[in-house]
Amino acid sequence: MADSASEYVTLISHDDYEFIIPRSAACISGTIRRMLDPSSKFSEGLTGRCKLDDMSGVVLEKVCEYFCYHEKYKDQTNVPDMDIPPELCLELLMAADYLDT
Amino acid sequence: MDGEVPLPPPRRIRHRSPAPARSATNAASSLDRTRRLSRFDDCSSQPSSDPALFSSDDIPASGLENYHATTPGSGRKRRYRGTWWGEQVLDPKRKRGEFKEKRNVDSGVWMGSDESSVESIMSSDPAWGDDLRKSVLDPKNASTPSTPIAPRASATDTEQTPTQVRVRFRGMAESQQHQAARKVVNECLEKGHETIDLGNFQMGTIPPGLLKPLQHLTKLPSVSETPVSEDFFTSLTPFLRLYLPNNSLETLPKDLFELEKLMVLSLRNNRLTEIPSSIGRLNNLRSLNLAVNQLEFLPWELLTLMRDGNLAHLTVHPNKFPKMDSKKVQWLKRFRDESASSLPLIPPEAVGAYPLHMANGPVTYFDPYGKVINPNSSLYNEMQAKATSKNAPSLRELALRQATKLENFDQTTDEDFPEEVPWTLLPALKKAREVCIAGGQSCSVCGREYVMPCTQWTEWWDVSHYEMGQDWNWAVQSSEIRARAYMLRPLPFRRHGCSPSCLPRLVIPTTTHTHHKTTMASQPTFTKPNRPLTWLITGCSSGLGLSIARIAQSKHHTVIATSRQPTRTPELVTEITQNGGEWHTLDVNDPTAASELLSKLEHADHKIDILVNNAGYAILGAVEQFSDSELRAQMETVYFGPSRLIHQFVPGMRERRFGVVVNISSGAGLEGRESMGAYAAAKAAMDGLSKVLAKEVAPFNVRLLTVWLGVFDTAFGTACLTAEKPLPGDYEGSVVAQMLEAITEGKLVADGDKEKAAKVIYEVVQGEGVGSGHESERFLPLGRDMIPRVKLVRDQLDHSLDVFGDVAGNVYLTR
Repeated sequence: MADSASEYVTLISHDDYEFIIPRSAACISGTIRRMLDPSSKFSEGLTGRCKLDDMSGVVLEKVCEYFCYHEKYKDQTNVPDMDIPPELCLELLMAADYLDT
Repeated sequence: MDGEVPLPPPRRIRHRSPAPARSATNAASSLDRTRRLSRFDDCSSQPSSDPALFSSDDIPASGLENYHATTPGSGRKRRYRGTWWGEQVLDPKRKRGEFKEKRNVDSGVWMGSDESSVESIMSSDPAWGDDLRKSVLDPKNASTPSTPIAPRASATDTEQTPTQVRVRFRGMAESQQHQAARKVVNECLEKGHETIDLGNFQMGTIPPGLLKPLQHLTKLPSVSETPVSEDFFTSLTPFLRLYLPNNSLETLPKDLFELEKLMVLSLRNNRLTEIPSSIGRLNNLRSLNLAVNQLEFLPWELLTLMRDGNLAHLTVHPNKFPKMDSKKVQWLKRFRDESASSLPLIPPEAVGAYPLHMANGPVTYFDPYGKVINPNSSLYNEMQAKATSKNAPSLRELALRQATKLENFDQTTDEDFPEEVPWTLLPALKKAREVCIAGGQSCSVCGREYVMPCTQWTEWWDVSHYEMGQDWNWAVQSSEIRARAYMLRPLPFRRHGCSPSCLPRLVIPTTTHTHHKTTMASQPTFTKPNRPLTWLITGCSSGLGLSIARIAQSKHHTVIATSRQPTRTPELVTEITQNGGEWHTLDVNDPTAASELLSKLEHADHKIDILVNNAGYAILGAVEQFSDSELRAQMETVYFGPSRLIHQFVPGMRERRFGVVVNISSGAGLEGRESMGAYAAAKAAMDGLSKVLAKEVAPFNVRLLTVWLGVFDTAFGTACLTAEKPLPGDYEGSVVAQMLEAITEGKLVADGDKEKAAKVIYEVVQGEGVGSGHESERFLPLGRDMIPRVKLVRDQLDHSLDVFGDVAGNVYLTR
C-alpha cells in the first residue's frame, strides 16, 4: 500500500492501464484532488490509486499528458497548444468535464 | 492603389448647432443631451442607407475604370431583380453544368484547381463517415434521404451553381429566395461584376456556400477600344461590394468573413443582434453599414480594422446601443478629472486622432460552462485572484478548440451530439459550433484561439471620425469643433478574453501589489543556487559598498572587496580578509584593471556570482561649466569602468547560468538634478546599458538590478569634485548654485540610512525578506526622496503620451 502522502499517484483506466504521475500534476483536476485528499478518507486518498471507470486507457493517457503539459506551462507566457487528436476530442471533453479541469 | 478608389463622399453634412451651454455647470442635462444626440442626431449627419444602386447610375464609389465594366451588366441585373421567380437558367450555363456532370461521372479526370468537383466525389464516397463522424453524428441520420447529396438537389443545383455541390441539403430543395440569390451571385461571377446586390431578398439566412465563390471573382478587363498603353493597365482585383440590406438575417455565415477582398459591406435593416468577431478578418473593408439592426454592441475587432486596416466609413446608427453610465465605467486617465459628473469634452489635442478610447465597462467573468459568475460569489474572487497568474488552457477548452476544427462540425445539429454527452456540456458544444460556423475566434488580448470566453467587458470608444467618413477634413474642421465644445460620442465595443488573466489594460485589481504584476506580466523567472555565493563589490573603502560587503560576509558569503587604494583603509582590509574575504586593488578608471582582476580571481578559482558596481563619484557644476576632459573622466568612472567589469564577469555568469549584476545608480540618472549634468549623463548611460543587457542575458538566468539611490549618509558629498571653470555670474542664486554650495559644504542633509539600504539590496539580490518573490525586478528605488522623483518621471512620461500620444500614433506610413 502506497503512502498516502507519496509524491506519485496512480491513475487506472477502466481497461486497467495504470499511469503513475506526480501528485501535483494530478491535482490539477479538482475531482482527483478531492479524491486524493487524505482528510477525506476516501480509499483513493489512502492508497494513492484512482480508478477512473469512465475512461479508456487511450483517453487517460491523453489526460495524463495534459496534466504534465499543464504542470510544465503553468505560470508561463506563450504557452503552445497541446495536440488533441480529433477522434478523441469529444471523449476528452467529457473526461475534462468529469475531472473538472 | 488605395487612394485611387474613392469612397462615397458624404452627401450632405449638416453641422450640429453650437452647444455653448454645455459645460460642467449643468452636468446632468448636458449628459442627457449628448446621449440623445449620440443616438438620434448622428453626428455624421449622413443617411444610414447605402448609396442607391441603379443600373443607370454610375456608382459613386467607382472610378472611370469601372465605368465600362459596370454598364453592360447592370442593365441585365435589373431584369433579374424583377423576375426572379420566373427566370430559368440561361442556356450557356446549362451547357456548362452538363459538361461538368459528365466530367464528374465519366472521365474521372478533373482539373486540379476545381476543388468542388474533387470534394463532391470524395464526399459521396461511402467511406466518408470516419470514426469521428460516427461518434459525432447520429448514425440513423446517415440512412435517411438527407445523405450528403440529395439526388434531387444535386440535379437542379449543380446546374445552377456548379461550385455548390458539396452542400448538404437537409431533405428539401432551397427556397426560392435562395435560388434567386444564387442566380445573382452567379451572374456577378460570370460577368465579373464587383457589386453584388442581394438586397430585399427576404432571406432569413444566407445559404451555405452562397458567398464562397465570390472569393474568386475576377474583374473583367475594361479595355474595349482604347489604345493599349501603360496608362490603361488596370488591376483586375475587384473592388468587391456586397449589399445585403433589407433581409431578415439573424446570423452571418462564415463564408462572409472569408471574402478577403470585400471592400464595401452593407447589412442595413436586418435582425442581427451580434456581429461576430471574425469580421476582423476583412482587412480590406473600407465601408461598413450596420444601421437598423438589433445590435447592442459592436465587436471590438472593428477597432482593429480602423486602426490597422482600411475601414474608413462606419454607419452604425440607429441600433439598440445602450447608454453609457459614466459613473459605472472606468475612465481612461486623460478623462479622469472631468468624468466625475458628465461626459467629458474631447481633449483638443485628440481631435482628429481616432479611434479614441474613452472608458471600460466592468469585467464579467464566465465559468467553464459559459454562465456568468456572480460578482458576490467565491468563484468570482477566485477568478480575480487568477488575474495575475498565467494559466495554461484547461483540458475542456483544448478539447473544444479541437472540436471546432472537426470536419463538418458546423453542420451538426443538436441531435447529432452523442447521447452520453452530459447535458451540462451541451451549451459548450453549441458554442463551439457557433465558433466553428463563424470561422474561429481569437482572444483580443493574448491572440490565442479560444471557444469559451472567460472574461468579457465593454470598451467605450469614440469613432466619430469613421462615422463621418474619411473625406471629412479634420484639419479644417477641428478648430471649429473646438470652438463648439465638441462632445465625445461613446460607442460600446465588446471585447472578450480567453483566460482570467486576459483583462482590460487599465483594470486595477484591489491591491497595488497584484496590479504591478499584471502590468509587468512578461517578466522572466530566475533561479538561484542554494549555496554561499561569491560577491565582487567595488568601492568598498567606505559607504554603501562596505555595508554590503559586511552584510554579505555576515551571511557567510565569499566577498571580494575592491578599492582604489587598499593601503588607505588597512583596518577594513584586515576585517574583510579575517572574515574569509579578499581585498583587491581596483581602479575602475584603469582600462586593463578589470581583465587583470578577472585573471587573478580565476587563478584563485573564484567564480563571481554577484557583481556590485558601487564605486563612483560626481563632478558637479552647471552643464556649461564642464570641460571635455571632465565629462570624459566622469564617464570613465561611472560608465566605462563598470561596463568593463560587466564585460569581464558576465560571460562567466552566462556560462554558469547564474549571476546578478547590481548597478548602484542614482536618482540623478533617472530624473536629473541641477548641477549634476555630467553625473546624470554617465549614470543614464549605465542604466541604458543595464536595461538592454538585462533583456539579453535573462534567458541565461543572469539578472540585472539597477538601484536608484537617493541621498544617503555616505561619503558621496566629500567624494564630489566641482568643475574647474567658474560658475558664470548669471547663475548666482540659482538652483545650480544652491546645490553646489549645499553638496560641497556638506549641508546636504542625508535622509537615508546606508545600512538599511545595504540590507535591502542584499535581500533583493538574494530573493529573501523584502526581495522574496521579486527576483525578476530590474529597478530598486531607495530613499524617501526617491519616491517623488520616480513619480515625477512616471508622470512626465504619462503626460508626454497624453499630449503627444495621438500624434505619435498618427505618423505611420499609410498603406
